[in-house]
Amino acid sequence: MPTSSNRIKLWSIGGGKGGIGKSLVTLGLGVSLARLGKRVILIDGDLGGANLHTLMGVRYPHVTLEHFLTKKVARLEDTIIETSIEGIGLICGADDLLGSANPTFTQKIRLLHQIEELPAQYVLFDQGAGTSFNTLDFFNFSGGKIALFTSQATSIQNAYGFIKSALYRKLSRDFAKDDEILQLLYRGGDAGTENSLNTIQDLLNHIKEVSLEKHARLTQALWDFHLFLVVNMVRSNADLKSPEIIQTVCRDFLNIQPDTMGHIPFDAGVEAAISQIVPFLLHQKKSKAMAGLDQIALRLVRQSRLPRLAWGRTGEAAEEEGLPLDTIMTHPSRS
Amino acid sequence: MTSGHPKPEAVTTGSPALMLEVADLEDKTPRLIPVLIQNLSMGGVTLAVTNPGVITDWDRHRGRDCVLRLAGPGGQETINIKGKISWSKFGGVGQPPLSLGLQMARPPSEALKRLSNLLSHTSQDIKGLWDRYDQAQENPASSQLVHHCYIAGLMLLIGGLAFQFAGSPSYKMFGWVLWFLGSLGIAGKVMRSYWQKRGSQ
Repeated sequence: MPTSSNRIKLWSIGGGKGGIGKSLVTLGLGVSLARLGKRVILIDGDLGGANLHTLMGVRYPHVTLEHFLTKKVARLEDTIIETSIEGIGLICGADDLLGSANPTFTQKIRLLHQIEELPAQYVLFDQGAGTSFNTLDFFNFSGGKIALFTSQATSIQNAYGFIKSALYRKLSRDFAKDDEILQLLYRGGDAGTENSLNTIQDLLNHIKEVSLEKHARLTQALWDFHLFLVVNMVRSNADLKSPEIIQTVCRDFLNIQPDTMGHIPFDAGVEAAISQIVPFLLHQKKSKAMAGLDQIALRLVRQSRLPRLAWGRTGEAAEEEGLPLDTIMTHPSRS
Repeated sequence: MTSGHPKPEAVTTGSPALMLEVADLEDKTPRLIPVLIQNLSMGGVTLAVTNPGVITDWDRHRGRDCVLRLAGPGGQETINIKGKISWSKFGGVGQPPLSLGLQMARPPSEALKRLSNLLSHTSQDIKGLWDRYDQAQENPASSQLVHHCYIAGLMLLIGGLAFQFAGSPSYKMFGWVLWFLGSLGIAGKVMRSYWQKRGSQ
């Protein structure tokens, strides 16, 4: 979601697998950005399993996202809790109302609209685990997308699955009214059959023969889906190969080229910070994890200022205002 | 690409690409049994035996040595993978007559690649993911060695250059040798990275 100054404001941190440190990395990035003098708001998007507030030492939040979703609070801005860390505001997730774990489309749109209005330079959205449509939609809406994972085989597998699900979700929304492309997308799942389209490149080649206009639209959609990889809990140089694995598979099969944003070394001190429910431990300058997060924060700031130009187009922001909201949602980097 | 829907059991088609060699318990004669691959992990493989009648008592073969013969496509060399039968299970309706679990003894990466290619129900991208994962897991020790060679090469190069420019004339030849050895160490690392990149493409 780029702002009027064409700077990416909303960054989502997702990754599919639970327990890989999404909330802690969101918090750590927030701390690093705040250290750089930026005003940051963290949103706990793990609807139904929120705990970012706990990591920040807030045990009993008086206002959460639930209050906004159920319209007890009119403005999202009014759900911000000022934290003990200067420059960081927190919007707690909803964890005590079953309904809020599955917001309606209208609720999602209302939330996404108001995120744009939040008084911050950066909004970090901590995504829940899994690949629910809500998670994928929030991830796809974000101008900045970070897929987080560890070097564990299961995490790499889930991160790839998450990226692929997000891309397919985006494509199926972008081409929601195009039965032909939707069918071809689904045919990609028919592995082992002679006519299966094993890669997105196969799909592109097939569509190119049918319609150049659709081919251009699909290429554009793939270009728009740009994301960054961050590997967490790195213990050795061998662990640094995991982003390369995901990059090559994404390039070969999904026709997208994720960039590596950085890595966060394993740091036993982080465990202590969680156990003591004190975020201040993350401030320690000796913390290896924070050193990695500081590097990532610097790149995040840089990437936020470098919007990717639309594929073969320029200056579409004005045109986009007339597009349906759903289209804007799935083309975040075009404005 | 995966669809997330359950898929039917895999079958290997055409001529038997996969044969299991098991020694008969009575007369010790090796028997070759055509098998199909059902599943694969880093060290284990699940096989389906469509005609288990060749061996009378499969339960007695648990823990026994066996050889999985993997015929190469297009006249490539057959790979023999040594292993042990971990378990056997007779199937019900709609399942293979017999399933076997094999623990493979250090299967080469080429063998794993060929085996995964026989899994027709697996999507190509997931295969690709695991192929690359296996490649990354291979020989961490050799990666360390190459890294150490690189560091040593760098030091030799610097030492050689120091002798070249600052040493007395009698040490200049020695400087050349260090310089040459150092360059070899660095070139080795560069070439390895280049070939690894090419291999992954």
